[in-house]
Amino acid sequence: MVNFVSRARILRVALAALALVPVALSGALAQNAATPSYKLIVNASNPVSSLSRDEASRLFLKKVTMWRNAKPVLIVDQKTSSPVRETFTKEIHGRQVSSVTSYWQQMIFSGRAVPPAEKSSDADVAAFVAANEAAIGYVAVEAELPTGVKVVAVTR
Amino acid sequence: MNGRVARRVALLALALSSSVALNPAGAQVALENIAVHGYGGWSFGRTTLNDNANWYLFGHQRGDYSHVEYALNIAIPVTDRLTIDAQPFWHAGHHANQTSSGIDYVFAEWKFSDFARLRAGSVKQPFGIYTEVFDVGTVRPFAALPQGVYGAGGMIGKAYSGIGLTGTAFSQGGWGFGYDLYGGGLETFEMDVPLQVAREGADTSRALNVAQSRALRDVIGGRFVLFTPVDGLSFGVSAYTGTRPLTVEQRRNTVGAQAEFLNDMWSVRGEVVQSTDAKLQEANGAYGEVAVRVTSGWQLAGLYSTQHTSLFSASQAALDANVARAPGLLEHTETGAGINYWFTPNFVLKTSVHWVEGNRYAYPDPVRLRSIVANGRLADRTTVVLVGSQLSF
Repeated sequence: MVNFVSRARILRVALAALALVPVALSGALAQNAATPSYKLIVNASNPVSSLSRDEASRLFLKKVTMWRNAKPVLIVDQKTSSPVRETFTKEIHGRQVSSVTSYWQQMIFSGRAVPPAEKSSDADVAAFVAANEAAIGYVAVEAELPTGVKVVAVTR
Repeated sequence: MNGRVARRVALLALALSSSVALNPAGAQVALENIAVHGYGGWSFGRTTLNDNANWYLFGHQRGDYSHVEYALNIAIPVTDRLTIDAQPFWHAGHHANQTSSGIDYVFAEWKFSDFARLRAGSVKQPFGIYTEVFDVGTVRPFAALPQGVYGAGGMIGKAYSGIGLTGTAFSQGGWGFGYDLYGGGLETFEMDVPLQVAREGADTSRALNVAQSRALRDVIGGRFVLFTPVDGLSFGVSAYTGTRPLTVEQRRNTVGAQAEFLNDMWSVRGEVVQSTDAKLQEANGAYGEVAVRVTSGWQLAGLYSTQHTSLFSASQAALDANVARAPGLLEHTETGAGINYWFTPNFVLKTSVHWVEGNRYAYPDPVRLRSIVANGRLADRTTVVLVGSQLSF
């Protein structure tokens, strides 16, 4: 026999959980509109010249893993302690680095993806991108770029 | 570690090392491309305010320091399209004073595209929010998962052994979805001693089955998660069906719905699940879980979780009479509150208090459960305090 009292109780729990969502949303709707303090870079042979913020975010979170020409994307990240990673994460993902770390834990242990390789300096990131046709990375806005690398515009 | 499990771990290690280093025919993988991660934790639990010996989660009346677990995760990109994933684990806990080890999953994934990724092997079951990361403490606010859905009630599985398809797709407008479809066998997380006592009564000397998992056959399942333009907000549904190889084959149908919102400050999650074994039993479970970061390190968390099981029988009157001796064996209602300190996203200290009504998941040593019910001494309220650390890298 189905227990209707129990079902009503379960429904109340579900509704209460959903009712809390709008409260939490208030913080999510505020977007950071600051001028970019990083340069998004790809290999000079890459035909991509601009990416939306959402597209860039999905690439760096490996939600999208292929370029528009179906070639696999090779992502290179900065160390978690680097200032440019902090600003990039805030401006592209709208999150703190710690939140993105939690996202990667979910991906790793569910067997879905592992985080990108990390390089310890702008020069290392730029050199990696220059050496790999499918690579994408980011460096501080003041960083000098080697030949073989181009800057990609980020649109809203 | 028993011999069988030791052999499985040794074989896995041998297979992985072979694929990495011993195959000169094109499947060799440079060591720097292999990703090795891991997670683990330790928890202490003690029940309080009881005049009984209920166990709940990691705690009992005298306090239990022994709950420890550790797992390694290895991801090997053999080619751009082929990845091999494996996760061996080690665990020690108070149930049966056992240590155990084994393989959470090991599978190969072939990526046709982001929308179509074929998986074959033993794969964590994609069901609801937490099933794929069941033991990973650093992705949740409490030391243990909400028992109303994730308790050992058979609602969710450990891993399916078979073939699956998974993928994601996103639109320019911020909408997106992820899906999973799978088929094969499924090992469920299931210890139904309270249900056996409720069904068979307290006065029988019939032996209890204390197995902690069940195997389902011919399973077909899926999950669909909708990602909204509001970053971190998603909704999903999951379902699977399969048969239990009992004397008379028994079909189990399970459906669930989920909602989740995550940002830097808040995590809000809720799930509702119904699991039905036709003509045998039906369980309805749900939970709501909220956590908020009050500083970069400190986090407060709250939980409400509930589950009710109904039992069915051809002689329903006799069954109802047995259940009436201890109706709490079919009930679980839990309120929890916790305080956590996150040193980094990879290391957290947690403490929490859980107030439980019912004995579906809070009950004494299974060996003594029948006699305690027969004597009318089963306490239906249990309070447990948990303290522990959880880590991942």
